[in-house]
Amino acid sequence: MFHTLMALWVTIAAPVQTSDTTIRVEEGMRLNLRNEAGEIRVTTWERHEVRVVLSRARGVRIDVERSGSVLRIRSALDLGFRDEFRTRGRRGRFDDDEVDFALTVPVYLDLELYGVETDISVVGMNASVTAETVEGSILVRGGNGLVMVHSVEEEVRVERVRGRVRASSTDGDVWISDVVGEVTAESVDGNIELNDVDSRQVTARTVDGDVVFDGPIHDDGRYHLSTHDGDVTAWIPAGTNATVMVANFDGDFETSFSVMLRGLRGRRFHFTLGDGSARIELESFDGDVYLRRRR
Amino acid sequence: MSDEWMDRLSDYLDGEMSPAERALLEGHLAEDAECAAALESLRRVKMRAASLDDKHPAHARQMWRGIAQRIGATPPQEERDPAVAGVIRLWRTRRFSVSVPQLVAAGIALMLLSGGGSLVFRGAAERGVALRGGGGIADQAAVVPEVMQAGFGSVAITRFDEAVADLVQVLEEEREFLNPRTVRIVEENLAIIDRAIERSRQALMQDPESDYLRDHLEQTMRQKLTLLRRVMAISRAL
Repeated sequence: MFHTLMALWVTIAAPVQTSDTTIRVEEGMRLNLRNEAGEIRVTTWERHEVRVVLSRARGVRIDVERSGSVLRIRSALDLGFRDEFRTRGRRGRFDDDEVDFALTVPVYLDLELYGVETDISVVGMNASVTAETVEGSILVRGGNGLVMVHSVEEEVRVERVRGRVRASSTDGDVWISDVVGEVTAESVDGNIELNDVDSRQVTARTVDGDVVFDGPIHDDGRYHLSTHDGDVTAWIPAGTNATVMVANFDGDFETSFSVMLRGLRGRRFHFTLGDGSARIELESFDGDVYLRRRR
Repeated sequence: MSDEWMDRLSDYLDGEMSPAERALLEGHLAEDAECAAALESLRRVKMRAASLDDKHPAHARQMWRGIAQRIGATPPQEERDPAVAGVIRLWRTRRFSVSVPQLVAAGIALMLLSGGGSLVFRGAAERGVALRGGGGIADQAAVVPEVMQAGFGSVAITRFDEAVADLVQVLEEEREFLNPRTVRIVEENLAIIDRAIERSRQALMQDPESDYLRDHLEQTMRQKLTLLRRVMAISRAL
């Protein structure tokens, strides 16, 4: 299952302010890119090629390596320019220079994108996407399979995905819309908003923020929305079959239609809509819970 | 993180990869901090499991069955036989794969057991308290509220605090690799979670019968561990 190591090295000589190179790829391949600082922008085209356009790359060497089915792209400080940059930390990270990657790739190419002080945007893919950054925001519009995004400091957005979505931000909001498939969304200090999410498995939880869900409820679905300090709002369609479990410690519950509350116990109660087949859990420790009909 | 590689970490630790596969995985580990952190967790869990089998074989087996059930790792039929050695054998035969949250759950549970958590576990078990399900929730958190209700809170809370302290200590050592702004944001978020944990604890003291408050405390504690682990993985990738 593992490929014989094949290496194709393409070193783009420094210094460069802009650079443009194209590498041939085929279906089944994965692109792995790490950019410490700057930007990663990915768009798509019809060709079986990856085009890499760099800007703001003065003094930075770009290594492109093909190993088996993986195409790896790295930016590294060129030795000849090392002295021009202040280094940070024992591992010699540089913080004065940024590299902007603009990639054009075929839609089928699986992507793994990593950054530190890096904004990441990926538009138009029909493949799995992993995007992680520390100090930047993430936008993924389009994807198929597993789409996994995480930022520590900024918001993350995932749109138009058919597949499984795992999205989280420590200090930012999480926005997910137009997704068909399982969704897991987490934040600590941020809101979570799920719109047009068609899923049988939804988990959304934050500590300090609101949670909003708007989507169909499948009879065999399970939906868990929770926060510690914020409101939880679920917009569900008429005709929903679900057992709805509501819990809070210091807050109210409000619904836009009448329900018969049952099982009032231990700050939890539940009620049934239709035949009660789906399970919806709405929890806010220190906020209100709202249940609304979908608009 | 690549699920493909994640599924092979046990093979790697057990020396069941070809040299070429090992080289490929090691290349991947150098690029994927989360996967590398998962490997470290797996290594620690395995070491703890090894020590447990000698120290507390009966409890280890009992605890491990609970862990395996909660994290969704169902061992083969023959290994569900109580006569079959528990933790060590499971690791040796390694016929299930685990995810990162599952590793957290297993690791914390094993840490509890090996570090005095068996006292907590026994205390809960003797009162007929079932370990709670939920998949991926740190097991120490699962035990804590039950124990709190029964007056054993200090022991369990200490275990959780120690788990957090271990991670914080590692992070402190890694601090220089992080941007000061990132450190500040992480600390602010940890403070948010700490306040939530404290509020939840107080609420549970007021209403110890509340399933919701118990679950909420569990969840909030797990979020703290998740955040610490994530930051640790990031710092090691820099």
